[in-house]
Amino acid sequence: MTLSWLRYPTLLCLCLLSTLASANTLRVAYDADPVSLDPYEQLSGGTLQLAHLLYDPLIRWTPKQDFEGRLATAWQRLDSRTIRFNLRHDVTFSSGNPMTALDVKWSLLRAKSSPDFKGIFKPISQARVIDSHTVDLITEQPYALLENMATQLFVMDSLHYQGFDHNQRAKDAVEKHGHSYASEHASGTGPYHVTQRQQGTLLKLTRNPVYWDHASPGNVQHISLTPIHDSATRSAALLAGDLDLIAPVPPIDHYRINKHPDIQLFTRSGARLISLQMNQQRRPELQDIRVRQAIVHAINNKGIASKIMRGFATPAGQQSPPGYQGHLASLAPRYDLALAQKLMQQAGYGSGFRLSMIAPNNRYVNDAKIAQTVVIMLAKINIKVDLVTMPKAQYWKKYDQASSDLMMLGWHSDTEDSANFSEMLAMCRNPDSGYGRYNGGHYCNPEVDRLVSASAKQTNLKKRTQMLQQVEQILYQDAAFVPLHWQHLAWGARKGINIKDVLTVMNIPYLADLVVAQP
Amino acid sequence: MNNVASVLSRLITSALIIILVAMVSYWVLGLISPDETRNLNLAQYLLQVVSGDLGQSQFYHQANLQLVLQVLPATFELVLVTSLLVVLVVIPLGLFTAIAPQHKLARSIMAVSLIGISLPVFLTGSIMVYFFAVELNWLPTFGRGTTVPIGSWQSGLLTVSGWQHIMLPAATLSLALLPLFLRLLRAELLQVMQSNPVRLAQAMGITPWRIWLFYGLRNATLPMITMAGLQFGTLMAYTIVAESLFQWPGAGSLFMQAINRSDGPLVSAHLILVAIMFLSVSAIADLAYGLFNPHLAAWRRQ
Repeated sequence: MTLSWLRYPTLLCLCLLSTLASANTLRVAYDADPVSLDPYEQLSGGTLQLAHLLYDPLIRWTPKQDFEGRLATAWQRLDSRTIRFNLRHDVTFSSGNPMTALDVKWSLLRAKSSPDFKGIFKPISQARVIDSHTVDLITEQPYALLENMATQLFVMDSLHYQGFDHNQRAKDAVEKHGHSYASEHASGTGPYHVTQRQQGTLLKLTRNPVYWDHASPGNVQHISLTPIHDSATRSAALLAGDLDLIAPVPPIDHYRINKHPDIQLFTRSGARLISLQMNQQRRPELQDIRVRQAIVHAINNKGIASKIMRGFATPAGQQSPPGYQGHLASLAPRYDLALAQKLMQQAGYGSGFRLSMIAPNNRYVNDAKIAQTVVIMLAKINIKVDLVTMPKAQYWKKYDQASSDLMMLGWHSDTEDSANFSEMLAMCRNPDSGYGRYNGGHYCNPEVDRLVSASAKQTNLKKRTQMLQQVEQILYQDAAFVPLHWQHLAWGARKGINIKDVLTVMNIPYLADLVVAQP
Repeated sequence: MNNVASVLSRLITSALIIILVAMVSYWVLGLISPDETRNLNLAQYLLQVVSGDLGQSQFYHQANLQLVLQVLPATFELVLVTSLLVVLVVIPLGLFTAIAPQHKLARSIMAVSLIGISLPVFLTGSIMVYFFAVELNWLPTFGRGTTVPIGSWQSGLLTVSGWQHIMLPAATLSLALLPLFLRLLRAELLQVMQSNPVRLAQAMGITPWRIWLFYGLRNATLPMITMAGLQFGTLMAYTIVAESLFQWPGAGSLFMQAINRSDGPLVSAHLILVAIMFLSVSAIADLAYGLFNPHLAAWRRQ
């Protein structure tokens, strides 16, 4: 009798266990909700992760960084401007329409009309339909990264998105945050269908019963995706058994998650560069190469990586992470306070000056803390920094206006290639071509522009590597920006979920191929 | 006649306060989304607000009023269960600590209640999650669980999973409010027990339980009602923290998301709606005060 009160907690535990046992549903939480089901509405990691569940690209990166055919069974380069793709014959969209070369052509046109994606697909001039299941992708000029582009070309159902919705808007419209038809209705060839969606709260997916990829070992039948913004809540929910898989895991929780017997932590080096842009347009001081060098030498990025990021980052001396074509092992992080102080004196700024600085506080791992540390480090060379941190929604407007002297920027190459860093961050700002779009420092070196442009046309891999490495060398010598670190990736998962087998370096998990061990 | 005048003056004050809040929210709107106020001056904005049009969210492309009303049931249920917990805990504990103020248990209750008032909500919330969800694995950590629609109202109070999910956030919130009410009730009870009517009742030989419940508690309830009305604002502020911590899909979460997304129209509409709720609650508290207060009731009868 005295023990009867124990019954209720025990019952409760049994209930929780029974939900765990139905392992057919994978309960996932990310930090943010994908804003749209449309793969071409917003360029972001969240969109890409979701696109791989609802749609298929022509080819994709494997977790080992090779290309692998998806909707294309085979592809070959016909000449320096063309690759021919042979498509699968047995693929249908979730609407029931068969997938053909016309859908590929239509999807490319749609991507090229999207404000966020037109820059990425700019080099591809057209898709030429050869027959119902053969299509050529053709570039304006010789282009080395055509295959990289094809990994982002998700094929949508051209017949399904014809006509108008009940609001008399065209079903194929791409409208950012516009709640367009495509953002709420997905017809793709992908491994999952949407069964329930409450934006910002829950997205439920069920495996496509007629998915073409019969070779996939994946056994996850249902996925529920919940956005949990608070990282402590996310970790606690995984530890409590309310979730099976979470990302990202903040460094402060790594130890607890690792220690837990039923949960595993998976980390890997990532390719997102965290940097500071030194705005030369606003400050003549920053046009002096000695001042920029002094700033780079005053910032102890190894210390930031080990103390603030708790080893969850690789300190960087350049844009390209190891493994990228442009990476030069000799360009190591520079930290030398004595040299930094000497450079400031040589430049005539021994007594220092004031700089304004902005950084986001909810975009990158520990972004605000890193910014605060930079303020302290720069004080040692007499640069007084007025720091303002803000949520990312406000931040990007300020960044686009280049409205501060020092600005934090994280960048992950859209093409998994070195050139994308330089095109977006280091080339001279040019509103017409879109190059230098995120070059908040207004650094401009014609030699860099020439080399990067030439590398895009160079299909000889060895020569191209040399060009991209030369670009890194120049940026290093010019101290074009402050490289901080490459942020690592962290996933927490219940034991038996081997997320590392299906995770790419771009941080995209192929959940359809995930094998969950049945308890 | 007097009644009508007081109601009228109250309505006029409320309207003035709402217009003042609307002015502030116009300023906030301009601060977060300058584009929105470019073609809309203050007078036009106020006219819109008065006519019941609180604008459209930039992110959701839906009417702000509708968005807030959609998530309000979640917040309302959280506030309801929190208040219920506070009442259920405060009355027995308050009685006990007032009746036996020197008892060791009473002293330790008062000491522990200090912790509740001095710890911030996000900390007590995290500690609760750590013990009851992570270590003991009794309760879920986030969300509302299964909800059942009652008309357009999505209720979580009709399912087991809904009750499981509401326990931690409601307990966290009530921990923050408990100490204040507990101390107030205890102080009031101690005072009432010393008053002449109670002494007379004791002299007449009325049973102690009857005295505590009907003479003591009833008189001590009045300042509690005033305090509850005043604390409503605090509770609204705390729900924002608790909802973010427990991923509770209510008005507080919506407000935080709106701030993070720089959704100016939604933020400013939310400010106005909170002001309206605040005014309504204090009006209700005053009405309740009138109902419970025998002095006022007697005065009304005259």
